[in-house]
Amino acid sequence: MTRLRRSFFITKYFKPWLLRLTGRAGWATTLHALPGGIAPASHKTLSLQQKITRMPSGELGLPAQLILPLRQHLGPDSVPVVSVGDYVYKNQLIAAANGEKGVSLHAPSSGYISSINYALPPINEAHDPERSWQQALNRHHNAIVIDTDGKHAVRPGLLGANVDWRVRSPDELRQAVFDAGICGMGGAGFPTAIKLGASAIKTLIINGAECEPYITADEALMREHAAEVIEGALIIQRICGAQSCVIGIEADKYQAIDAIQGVINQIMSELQPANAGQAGLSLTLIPPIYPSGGEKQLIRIMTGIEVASGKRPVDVGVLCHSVATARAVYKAVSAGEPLTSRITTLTGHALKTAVNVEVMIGTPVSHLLDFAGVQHSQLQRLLVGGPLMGYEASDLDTPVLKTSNCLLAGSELDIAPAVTQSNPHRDCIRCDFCATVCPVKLQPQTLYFAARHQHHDASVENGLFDCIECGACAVVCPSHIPLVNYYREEKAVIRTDNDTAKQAYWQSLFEKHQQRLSVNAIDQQQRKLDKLQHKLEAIAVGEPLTKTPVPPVVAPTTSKSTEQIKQEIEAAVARTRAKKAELQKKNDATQDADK
Amino acid sequence: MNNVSHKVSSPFLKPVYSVPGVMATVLLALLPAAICYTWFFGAGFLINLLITSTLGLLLEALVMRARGKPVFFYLGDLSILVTAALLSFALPPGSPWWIATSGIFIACVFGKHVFGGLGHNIFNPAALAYVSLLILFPLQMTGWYLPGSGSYAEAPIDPLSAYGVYTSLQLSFPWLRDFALTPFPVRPDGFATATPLIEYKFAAPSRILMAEPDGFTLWERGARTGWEMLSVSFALGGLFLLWRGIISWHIPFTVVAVVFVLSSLFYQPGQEAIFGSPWLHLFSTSTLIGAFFIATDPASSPSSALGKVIYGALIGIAMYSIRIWGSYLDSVALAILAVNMCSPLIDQLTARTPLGHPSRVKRWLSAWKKTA
Repeated sequence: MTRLRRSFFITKYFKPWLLRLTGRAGWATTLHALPGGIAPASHKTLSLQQKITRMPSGELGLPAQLILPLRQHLGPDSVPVVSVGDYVYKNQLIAAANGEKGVSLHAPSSGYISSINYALPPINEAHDPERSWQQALNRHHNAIVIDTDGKHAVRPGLLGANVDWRVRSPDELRQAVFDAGICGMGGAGFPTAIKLGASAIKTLIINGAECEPYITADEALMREHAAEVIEGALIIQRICGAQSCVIGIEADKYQAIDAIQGVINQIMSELQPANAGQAGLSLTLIPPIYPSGGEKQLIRIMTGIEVASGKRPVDVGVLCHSVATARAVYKAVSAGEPLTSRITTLTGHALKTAVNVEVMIGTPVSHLLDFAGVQHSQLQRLLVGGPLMGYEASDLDTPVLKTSNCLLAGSELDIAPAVTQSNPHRDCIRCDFCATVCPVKLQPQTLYFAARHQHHDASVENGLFDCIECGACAVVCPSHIPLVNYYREEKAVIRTDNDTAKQAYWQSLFEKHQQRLSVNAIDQQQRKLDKLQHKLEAIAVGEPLTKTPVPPVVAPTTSKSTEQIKQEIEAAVARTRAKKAELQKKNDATQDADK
Repeated sequence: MNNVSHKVSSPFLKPVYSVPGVMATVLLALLPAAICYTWFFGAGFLINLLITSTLGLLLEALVMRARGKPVFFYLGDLSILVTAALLSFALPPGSPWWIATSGIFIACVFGKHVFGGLGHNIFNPAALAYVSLLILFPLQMTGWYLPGSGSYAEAPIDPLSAYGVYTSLQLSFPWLRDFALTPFPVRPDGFATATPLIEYKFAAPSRILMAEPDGFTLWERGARTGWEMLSVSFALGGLFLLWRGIISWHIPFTVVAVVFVLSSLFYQPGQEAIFGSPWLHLFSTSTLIGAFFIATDPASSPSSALGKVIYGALIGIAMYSIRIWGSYLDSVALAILAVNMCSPLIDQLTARTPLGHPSRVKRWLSAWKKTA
């Protein structure tokens, strides 16, 4: 039994001290400790033996088809701007961003468009449509398909002007990022341009933590393209106007740390000594604990800021981008190159060679598996993403997306057997292992009982929607309860309830309220009318209009004749009648509409 | 059955812990104490352990069958063996066989399955069984055959000699005495001595008090040495569990600390006979098995850290109070049962606040401001 759970003291104080004793890079004890977290076997050396293989040079050729889903990000679908049969060049825009919140899509290679509404198989269950982009594919799973011609032709003059980014304005740079169709490449796929538009950013954090086991895409990127990453970070810093830019890397990535530190030292030495302090570019080592790479978790570790539930980090003046995004920004700004390829880890014990590859977006996974030599007899499960937060690829045509950082061909060494009818999980023994590893300080066992028995109020009260679905609780559970599955299902049920039943209920309450208001208004006019009628009658009889005697000292300034008063009252009656009739008509109309 | 109807999703990583693994670790942690107990108090412990384990497995299988659940799947969690082992430590070695039998029946049926099985019990099954036995059979439950010292020469229960084992067997199965060639030397009704605390409680000059000045003799089998070595081995097992991460430090630390503080506060030199010394409270009684093994039962203790500290402190206070001012002597099981009842409430009051939400103090303050 390995020691998976970490105690606060060991992680924060003892381990850095031990690392310093042995002369290795350790993190600072001044960092803020992440509550919980696990330290599973990383399996990262598998795919770090070789350098990044680029595509389509060398042994990794072009796939015959590229499948490009219209939604690879959080936000509205992109709108195709090509039609079937068109020839597209590499880097040509094929689907435009849908409004400000959209992300545009470019052709990764040249070829003919063979379909613009190719139906992707549903990638995953619709557990959590709001959080994960892949769920949305279930509803809108249209994709553009390009039959590649192998020429990899770039239309001349398509690239942007090669102007130094230091002289361009932040807005211009942001537009360049928007045009390149960049979204967060770490997992959620949040459109980068929107994040960059946030104001009052104090700290920029570049996330090189990559805490999930097996995945090494970011580590390989930092190892081999450190200068591009740093350059991208500086561009982002210029766009958002942050005072300091901190790069956070897990302390066990020695080569990546060396490379990044080298580039930072170089930049600092090039600067004038007077400006060196102002650049605010620094590297911070963070403890290698899963999930330290989660956005809010990383911010908590590095700055101690606790982002309130339901808020985004930009609300507290912190912006977080992954190193892959930083590099994409660099390429977009410096070379005008849109996001058409990314670094993906091919790993798992079912592969003959585990390696990092720079692949085109839209490459079917079957192509990559052929390249890495998959042993189908050992393949237990094919995962896109890591073993803790990834999802199962539904078939071999599943494309690589802008957010796919890993392709894990898991054998039985990597993958836990699924909980099924023949392999049930045990009852919860309330051991609290889950509570000690939860990075959000939830009580997963309480949440489990609430979720399992569908006590929606109790689930929400216990912070169901604060759960980041990192899966740490399910990994340490001795009863092997698929806790995250239960939470996802409960979230989906609550969301559906909110969407339909509750909405209808509140709508009906609102309508009733409106109706009551209109009825009240009619009554009010009626009362006014009665009063006026009464006054008219009183005048007709000749009674005084006011019951209280007029104070004798102040003489009435305006002396109206009875006739004038009568006329005024009649006018008022007419006005009120008209208003009442109008309201009545309106009310009838809305009731008719309701029926 | 515990299966998921929906499609399997992340995480896919292989789990590390398992319920049988956790239970086996607890059993492993009890091993030094078992050796120590057998060495000092005779093979009667092993006989009790055999009875409780065998019958426990059998009962568990029967109950699972009656509840319509897969028998071997649930037997495989080994939890009944932990209950049986803890119960055997609580029973006097040399008590008749039906004590252990009724004990495991109460633990398995009334302690565990009445509430819905493992993880659903609100009391610790072993503590519940022990307290029930103490009330049902007070005589048998307080008759301990103490090891060694000169005055106990007539009770040879040395576990390493065949004669000693046979004596233990005769104690557990009284009908074996009919087949004995030599007249049975022990008259069990003669002693009424449980833990040394009893003696202090009533300030009666007794054999243990007489043996007390002999002091701690590691290689001789004396009653005091036996109790102290047993406590030390429980502490060792508890530290092993702490190291393996099976239990957290909160409960054992608080229980021990509270008992230590209270016994130090009330301790007056020369008045040991009334209050006992802190050393006696920690190492000559069952405080440590309670603190490390019984109070830490996850199902019946609260889950948050603050809740665990409160729970441990309550147990410590209850333990000491029942010992000194109550009429039951072995207070550990009673104290734990009493505080087990509070643990759902403690759990509810001390639920952790997720990150990104206002802390409990802030929430209380804002609620107070609103009412004020």
